Amino acid sequence: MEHRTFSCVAALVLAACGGDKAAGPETGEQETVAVAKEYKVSSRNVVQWKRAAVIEADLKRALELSGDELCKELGDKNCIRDVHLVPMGGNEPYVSGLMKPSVEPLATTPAVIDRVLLSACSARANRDASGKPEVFTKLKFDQPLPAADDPAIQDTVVTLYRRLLARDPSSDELEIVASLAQDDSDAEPLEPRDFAALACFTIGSSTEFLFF
Amino acid sequence: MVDFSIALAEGLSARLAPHTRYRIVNTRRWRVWVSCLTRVRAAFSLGLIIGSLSITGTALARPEAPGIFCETYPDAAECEGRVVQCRMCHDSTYPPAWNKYGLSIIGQMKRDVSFAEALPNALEAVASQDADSDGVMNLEEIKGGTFPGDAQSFWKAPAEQKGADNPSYHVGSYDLAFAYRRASVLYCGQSPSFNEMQELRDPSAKPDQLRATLHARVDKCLHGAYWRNEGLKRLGDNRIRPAKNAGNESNVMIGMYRLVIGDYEWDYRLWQYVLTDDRDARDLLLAQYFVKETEDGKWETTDEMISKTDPTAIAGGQLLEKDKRVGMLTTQWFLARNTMFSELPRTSAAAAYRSYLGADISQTQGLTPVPNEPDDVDNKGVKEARCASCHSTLDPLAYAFTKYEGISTNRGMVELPNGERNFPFGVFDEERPTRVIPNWSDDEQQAVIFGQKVSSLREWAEVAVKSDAFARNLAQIFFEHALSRGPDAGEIAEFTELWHTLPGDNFSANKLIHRLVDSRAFGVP
Repeated sequence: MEHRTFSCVAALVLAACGGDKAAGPETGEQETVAVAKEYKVSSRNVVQWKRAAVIEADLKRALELSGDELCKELGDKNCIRDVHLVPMGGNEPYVSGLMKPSVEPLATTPAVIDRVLLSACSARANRDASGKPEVFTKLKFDQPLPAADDPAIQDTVVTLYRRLLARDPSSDELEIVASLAQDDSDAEPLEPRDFAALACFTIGSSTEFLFF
Repeated sequence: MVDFSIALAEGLSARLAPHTRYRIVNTRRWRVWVSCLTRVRAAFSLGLIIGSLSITGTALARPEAPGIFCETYPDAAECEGRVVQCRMCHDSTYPPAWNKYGLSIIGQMKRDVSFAEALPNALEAVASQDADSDGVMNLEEIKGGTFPGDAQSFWKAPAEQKGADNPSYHVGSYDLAFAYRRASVLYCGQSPSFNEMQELRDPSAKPDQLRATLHARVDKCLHGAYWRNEGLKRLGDNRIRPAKNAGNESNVMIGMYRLVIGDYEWDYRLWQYVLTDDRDARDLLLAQYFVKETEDGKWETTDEMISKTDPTAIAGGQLLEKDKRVGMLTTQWFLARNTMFSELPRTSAAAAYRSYLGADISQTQGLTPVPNEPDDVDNKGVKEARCASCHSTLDPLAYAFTKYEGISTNRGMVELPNGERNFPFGVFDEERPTRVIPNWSDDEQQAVIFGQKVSSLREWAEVAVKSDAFARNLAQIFFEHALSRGPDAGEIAEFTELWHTLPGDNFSANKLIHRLVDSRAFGVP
């Protein structure tokens, strides 16, 4: 699972540099938005860190989970509000005396983001696998995972892009995330539940989701 | 110190003495002696080094310099609604040490005129130089808000963006979708949904229509629960500085009583109330009401005094008579937390100056020295040169707070054990200055803010809210919240225009935010 995740994240980073087409489940390839590889890029230092409260709200809506369902440490403490608030960009003035949030992400921020995302994505995948699916509605959790080019996989990726990034994926992005469904090892075949969690984590840990 | 020695070794010493009020014992005789030995260069150098040591130890502060600087450069970014910081020319004010910009000014100071006359000409003489060699001319840095004596502080315009049009953003021009997303995150606490963004991506939509959509979104956010109860509330943290162990929920027990020195939720509610719904933000310092929360979660103002809610708590209400209230500056929590047990409430004055006027005196910001101050009314030794440069501003600011109690130990001790009355934290007492401040004189201690004499904290606040400093600080709060940084040199003109609109908008924070959203700083990726 880890190997697949990191491969996919790396591939997404590369794909982000050269996105070419937008794709949607109903419309297929919608339009060619650009063909050049060298776009104008901002030189204004405007990217900002999405802080704890916003990450929480975005994940709650995207995955249709409550705050406590996203992530709990030791099954008791809310990961975002109670345990990892500061590395996620929040501040707690009342008890800790932190009157201002950290200006920049801390050394532990990436690990905490991974922790929260994996927990939230896994929670959604598990709930959909064990009950009526609410997010991963196209996947059949009681059957083997279909191939990467199967409409169920493609639709799942598009759904996640819309829920997490509020846009459709480019065709490159779609292909890369869908490739998580390819079985490229001799290990046990990937389950639909694993694919759902990994695809969610991959998109959720993108720069586009974590910054604004 | 090192810079100063180098300056001397470079031959600047002859220009220094008349302008810097250095008291060198036997200076003239010493120079004569040195001139007799000009051929002995080693001895000369030694003399300079010794001279620099003695000079440094006896230097007097030049608290008038920031004012002269801002008179010379009224449109400098650091002078718009501010008083320029000592950092502009100094690495340190005590012992005095100058940065490269300061040294270049010293090198241009004429000897035969007063400091006040010499400084403007010297500033002019070095304006086109680049003292810190960072590639930006001194005057450009001054106007743009960076520091010409600090090579790490400079701004250069972003490079021209090249390449094909970016398919995701309107790079280099106002991008309504980008601004919409940013505004949603900042003021709604949530990114926009796919469906919301589709409207922004519609190629047939007219810009005016999209702009209206953006502002409708901002308006909805500013009236929403996230902004009121979380986003805006967190902006108040560093001004209210709550502490649970001393607040209304404190579980710390002193005998049978809870350690409550005040209830900071009153402060938060006032902060939130004043900065929402187009209310006048000047009420931060002028409000004479308190804000209650009703059972259905709405806010309601009251002019009544508030008793503590728990008889076993030491304090926790609001005990000031209406005519003595001065917004956030006289809540029980503010006074108890900041004045505490001090005789002269310097911490309260400094906190007010920092939080609502944007000047941190501990960073030598906002210094507007008052002649013959500090008077050291509480025998703290603030007349020492190293203290006086800041206390000549701070102490007259603090005089206005002296009639308000902090954590009082004067009254109520008998009643407290019975829980029969509110312990008088943060109350008004006309006699307090003469009672608790050893050298206080009503005739001599004159409260002053921004050079204006005031007779009460109320007047202090009235001067404060009329100042550019208040307006700039208010805009700075929301600008920094939006962009996680202050305005850069390319944005300073737009930023200045932004806070200049506040009086016309009746100091509405909501209107300020709408204008901020329209700014290029906010909406241009």
